[in-house]
This record gives sequence, C-alpha cells and structure tokens, in this order.
Amino acid sequence: MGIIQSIIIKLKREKFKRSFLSIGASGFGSYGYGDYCTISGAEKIRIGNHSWCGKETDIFVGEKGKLTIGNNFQSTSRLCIECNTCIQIGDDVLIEPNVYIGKAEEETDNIVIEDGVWIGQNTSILTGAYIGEHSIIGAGSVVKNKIPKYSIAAGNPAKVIKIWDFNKNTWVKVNA
Amino acid sequence: MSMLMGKIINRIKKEKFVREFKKFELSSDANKTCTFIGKENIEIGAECSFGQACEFIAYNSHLGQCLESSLKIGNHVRITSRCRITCAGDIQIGNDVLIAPDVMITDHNHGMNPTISGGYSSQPLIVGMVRVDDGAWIGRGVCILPNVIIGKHSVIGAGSIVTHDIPEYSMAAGNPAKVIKKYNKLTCEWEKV
Repeated sequence: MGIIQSIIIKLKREKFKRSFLSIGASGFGSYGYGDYCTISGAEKIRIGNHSWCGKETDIFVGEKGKLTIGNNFQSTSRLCIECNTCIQIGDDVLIEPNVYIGKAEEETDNIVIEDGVWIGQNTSILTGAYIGEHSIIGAGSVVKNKIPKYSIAAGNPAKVIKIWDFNKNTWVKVNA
Repeated sequence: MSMLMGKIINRIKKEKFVREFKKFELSSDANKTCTFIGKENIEIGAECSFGQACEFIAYNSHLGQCLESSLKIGNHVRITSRCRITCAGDIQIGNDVLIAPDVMITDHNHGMNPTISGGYSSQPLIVGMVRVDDGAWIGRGVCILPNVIIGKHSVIGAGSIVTHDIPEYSMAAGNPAKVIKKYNKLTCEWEKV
C-alpha cells in the first residue's frame, strides 16, 4: 500500500473515531475507519482497543440504547446489533458470521456477553441473554437467558450441553 | 464487429482469471461479485454457476499455523447467493449438488481451551474435513460443521445445523440435523423414519 493511501486511511480513521463516545486507537472496521460498516448512534458507543469487524456490519443504537464493546473484539462478517437497551460485550470476544444481537423494540432487559466468549455462526442473542466468560455458543442457537461460564450451549432455546472440567482439563457432556 | 471484439476480450479476461486457480473449467460461470481467496488451493469443475456475493476461502496459514487446504467443487454444481465456504483442511463437493442461499460450510474450528489467555481466536485451528456427495440438495441457511459427510442424493432442510454424518438418500432437518425421511427405491417414495 502506498504512502499516500496509508495517509488517507489514517485521516479517514481519525474522522471516523471522532463520532464515538470512546474508541480505541485502531478504530473499528476492517481498516479502522468503519469501512463496510453502517453505524448509527455512534455517540452512545464505546469500543476498546484492537477491535475489528468484517464487512456488512450494521450497528444501530436507539435513543435509550448504550453499547459497550471491549478490547480485541473480532467479528468475521454480517454482524447486526440493534441496541435499544444496555448491551455490554467484554474483551477477547469472537463472533462468527451472520450473528444478530439485540431487539428492535425498546426493552428493559439487558444483554451481557462476558470476556472470552465465542459465538458460533447464524445465532441470535436476544434481550435477557447473559453469557458467562469463556463460554461457547454453538451455531444456529437462540440465546434468551443466562448461560453459565466455561460452558458450551446450543439449540433453540440455547441449553448447556458441555461444561469445562478443570481437573480433567477437557469438555465434559452434561446429562440433560 | 464490436460484439465479436467484446466476446474476444471477455474470453481473454476469463482465461487470465482462470489461470490463478488450481483448476477452473472454462464452462463454469464466475460471478464478479464472488470472492475467491487462496485460488491456488481451489478446484472448480465444469458448468458450475455461482450466485451473488459468494465467498470461497482456502487458507494457507492462520496466525503462523501452516495449513494445507484443498477445496474441490465437482461438475454441474449450482451455488446460490451469499454462500460462504471456508476451508483449512479438505472440503469436497461432488457433482450435481444444489446449494440454496446463505449456506455456510466450514471444515475447521478454533482451538477450544477456555483457560488460554487471549480467547479462542488466539489458539491454533482444529482442522477437519467436509464431504458433500453427488446429487445432494442443501437448503437455505444451513450450517455444515466440521467432520461431516453428507451422503448421495440427500436433502438437508432449511435452517438445519449439520453436526454428524447424513446417510445417502435421506432427508434431514433440525438443530442438530436428524434424519426424518428415507427414500425407498422399491416404492419410489420418501418414507418417514
């Protein structure tokens, strides 16, 4: 990439970052300036350092919405966040393609995704969801309630199918 | 005369495009909106058609981990819009396969140790394989997860999440996908299981 191109990208990134409540040095989007993203309500969004998202990302924050994204957030592509309540996403969260988070109408229930969570493709995280740290949500799930930490959950509605055993250092099936 | 020139120019452009692949039959149609990453690992058979915004990714490496990926698509395969096929190991799609929109096929997972710092994205990939045999029909929005073999002429219902092998001549649906019907070759009908 030429020098002029990198300067132009840096300028675009600085202008993009100014619209946010707070944002890390690397901005957001594939090159940090919100490329391929549609973001509305940036003044209510906090984003941490080294966070990036792939293309076709849509983030809408409504009047009563508040969105916080932690450090090292990675979203492959086609993430849609509709925030009309309080949505908190922790550090080191990995989101596969085609995930929906939030709800279109105003809500009192919040969404919390703690540190280190891995969300599989095609899932929907609806209001009332609380995903504990380092948990894995399987592909195609719908999460509306609390998922404990260090567990694997899947299905519609999402149910815990495995739990990490700290003694054996492996995932152990949970008897339904 | 200008139409002939246009055809010759398009043919030259296509030959140049095709040369970057491991194999790409000229009779297959490559939509300009499709993304091909790792073309040297991708083989595409004859008379295939691709819809809008499809993504075919065959990784060579991931965070320093060397990968030998191989993505093979057979003859007369029809892949509709927004499908995403990501390959780190071995993905084979047979002949006459029909893939509806928004399908995702992946043959690898991130490392799954929750106690390693940096989250799952910092761990080496766990690589597997996926095989979709001849004549299968994959419904809309289906996710095909690693280490799955979908048998010949099987039908996967829309929205399914396929986690285990599906035998041939069967219809499967659900999350996780389970066989709901099998084709009876004597009565020539799909019968509930």
